[in-house]
Amino acid sequence: MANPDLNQKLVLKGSYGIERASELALDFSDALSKTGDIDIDISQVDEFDIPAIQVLYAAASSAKERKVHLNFTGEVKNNMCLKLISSGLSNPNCSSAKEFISSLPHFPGVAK
Amino acid sequence: MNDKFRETFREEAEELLSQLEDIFLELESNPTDKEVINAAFRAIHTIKGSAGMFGYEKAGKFTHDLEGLLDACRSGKHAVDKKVIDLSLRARDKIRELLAEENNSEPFDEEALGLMAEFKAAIEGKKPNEKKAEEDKKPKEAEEDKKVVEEEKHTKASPKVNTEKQSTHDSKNEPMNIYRINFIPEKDIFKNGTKLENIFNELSEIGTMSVVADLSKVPILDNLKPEDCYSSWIIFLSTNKGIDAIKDVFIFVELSSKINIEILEQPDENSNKKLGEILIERGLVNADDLSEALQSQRRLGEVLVERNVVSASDLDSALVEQAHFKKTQDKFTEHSATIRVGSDKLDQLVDLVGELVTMQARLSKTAIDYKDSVIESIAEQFDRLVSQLRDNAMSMRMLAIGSTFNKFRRVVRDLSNDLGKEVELVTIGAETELDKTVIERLNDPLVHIIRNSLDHGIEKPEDRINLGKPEKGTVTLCAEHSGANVIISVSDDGRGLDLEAVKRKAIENGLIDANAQISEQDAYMMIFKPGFSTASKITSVSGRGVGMDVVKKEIDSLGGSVSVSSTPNKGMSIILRIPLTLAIIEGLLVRIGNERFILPLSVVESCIEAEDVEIKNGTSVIHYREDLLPSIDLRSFFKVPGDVPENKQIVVVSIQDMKCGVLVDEVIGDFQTVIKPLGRMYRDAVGISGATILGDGEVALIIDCARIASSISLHENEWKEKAC
Repeated sequence: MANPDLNQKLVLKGSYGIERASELALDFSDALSKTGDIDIDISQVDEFDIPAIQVLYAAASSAKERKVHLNFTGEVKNNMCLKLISSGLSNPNCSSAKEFISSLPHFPGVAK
Repeated sequence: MNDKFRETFREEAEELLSQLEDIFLELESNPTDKEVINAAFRAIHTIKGSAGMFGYEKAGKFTHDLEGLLDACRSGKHAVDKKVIDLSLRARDKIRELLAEENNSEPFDEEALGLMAEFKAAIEGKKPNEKKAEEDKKPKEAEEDKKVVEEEKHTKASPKVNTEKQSTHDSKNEPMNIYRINFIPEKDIFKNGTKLENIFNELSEIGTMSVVADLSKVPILDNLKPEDCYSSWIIFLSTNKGIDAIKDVFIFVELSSKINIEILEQPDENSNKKLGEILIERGLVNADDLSEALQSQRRLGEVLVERNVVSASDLDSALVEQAHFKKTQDKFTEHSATIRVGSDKLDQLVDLVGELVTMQARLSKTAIDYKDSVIESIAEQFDRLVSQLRDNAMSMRMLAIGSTFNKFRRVVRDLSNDLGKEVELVTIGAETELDKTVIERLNDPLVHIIRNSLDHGIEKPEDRINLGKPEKGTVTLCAEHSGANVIISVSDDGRGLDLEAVKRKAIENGLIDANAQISEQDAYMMIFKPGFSTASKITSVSGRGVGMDVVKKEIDSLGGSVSVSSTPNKGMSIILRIPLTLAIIEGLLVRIGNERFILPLSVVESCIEAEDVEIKNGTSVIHYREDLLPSIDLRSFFKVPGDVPENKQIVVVSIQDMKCGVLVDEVIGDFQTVIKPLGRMYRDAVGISGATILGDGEVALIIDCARIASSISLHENEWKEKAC
């Protein structure tokens, strides 16, 4: 069994609008280019715009291809989820990162 | 035209005008936000269409001209600047006046004509006086404006008016439709700054919406261009607004995106759809596939996806469609069960329930007196029913305080402009509910407090910068429930109260002795004395010392209380504690001599035997849960004659974070109290807030615990010193 202490850590902070979508994609590319699973702490994220959500999907698809496990961690900010509800990308009951990821439709690597 | 319909229209227009004020103020903060401009446009368009329909041709014509200005802003021909907002707000006020006019055949007054000229001038990019000069050259044109009203009055059935009616997609009389919207944005949509979230939010405002996002086309990271859009959506929208309203939402992306809007069907009681029906309707499965899958005795969706008959995302959207139909059906039932009732009828209902509560008390008393078990049982059942009826009737009169809060946005905006200050109004707890009567009476006190904050509290921008504060001041209106009360606070981040100046003025006015030692809170409360002001100059807004005393009087008459907190250069807060309702409360019936009194149950903490009363240096104190509390003997306070019983009882009450004991002869029990006002003659009676009728027809006075506690609090330091 993999040792979680050896996992790479990625801490996402602030608002991820269109202007930070490339930066987010780069962070994931860097992390995926190294070995080991990746822990992504999203507890400090204020906002994910749709481009950022697309990056999460792309990263999850790449991780699945490379058999890397993306482990989203932390309590998520209520507002972050609320802003995505109208776009069909979240639900009102998300409090943890796992719940948030599960609420994303057909998120790669997440079994419903 | 039926007056009822006109009345309903006026009520709806009033709601729209209130929303419009908020929209314009929002637009002032976000002048480039297309969604907000669209929202303003739609509200105006609705008023215009309906005004014509209900015979308010003048308002219709006036609104039509304002719509022209907003259309110019919407199409980018005119910027949304301060002038447009000022003009729009003034126009909004004028529309309200026009709708209130009884005689619709009078020509437009000067103000309306002036505003209409300003709309036209703004659209044409001219100054109003330039426009006026031109109009002076063409007196006929101005005359025509006046005539339009007359003409439209006589051409009610003209094609033009009919067209307007048909295009009024916001009419509430239109049937509810369910739309399926396929939205595939172009790849570059994010690059021009479009936030798709705003489109979804706007759609959700025009109806009930369910959304299925499809991100299956998002590639792996190596092939991803992060600024491209790979997502698409299927949206189900139930609304009684027409297809044009939906198209309006997509107006800025329609050329670059694929948008397909289909009407599904009108929901009714039988709107429930089966998953198989939806999949067949959409052509995703055929009847053979379906019947084969149904035979497997497993979940249909799972089987179809497993057999690759439908994709997971197609199944998702079909399931969402099914759920949406169910949701719409529930809404449909809910809408059918909602009716609009005049507030006077509600007031009448609460009055009648009050009478019923009094009668019920009488029945209970009679049942006990007659010692008849059958009557007693009926009285008990009747009691339960009346309690439920009372709670229901009271809940109908509860309104969210947000509507009152929103009115102050305009007050703050206009006043800060007049004073040359920049002030933002922040509201918290707008959803907090209060009895309608209480809310109505809160308006004036809050206006006075806010005006005072803006005039005396918030500093000028340059002074704020020098003090290291943000240029823009903040006034925060906050409401929250606290037991049977609501606490409303008005806080600012201004200069705060100058305690020394308050004390100096109080001495000058002879309110306190020059050598008097008063607490900080008592000193702050001086600002509520009539004629009291520390302002060095009188302005048109405040400074005469009138206003804050009105606040105190009004809050007192509501049975509430006021307190103040302040920190120099950080700001001040005025905190109002208001009872939730003024109609019926739960009370504790007590006896003193032959008199009976009611203590509001919401302030009662406990009842104890009066064994532990001590008199220390002339002050009465009680021991209560290892604490020493001041106490007051109601017999002495109200000078009730008669023999003092050997064993008295103490009711411990808790008010404004202060506890005290109230000595009574006997605690009788709880009592549903219908509050009756005391009338003008007794309005100055200290310690009494109202009266109620008991089961035997006698009157019991309701004790104003806050007033009694404050009379103890004034001497708090004194008794503490003596007691210790």
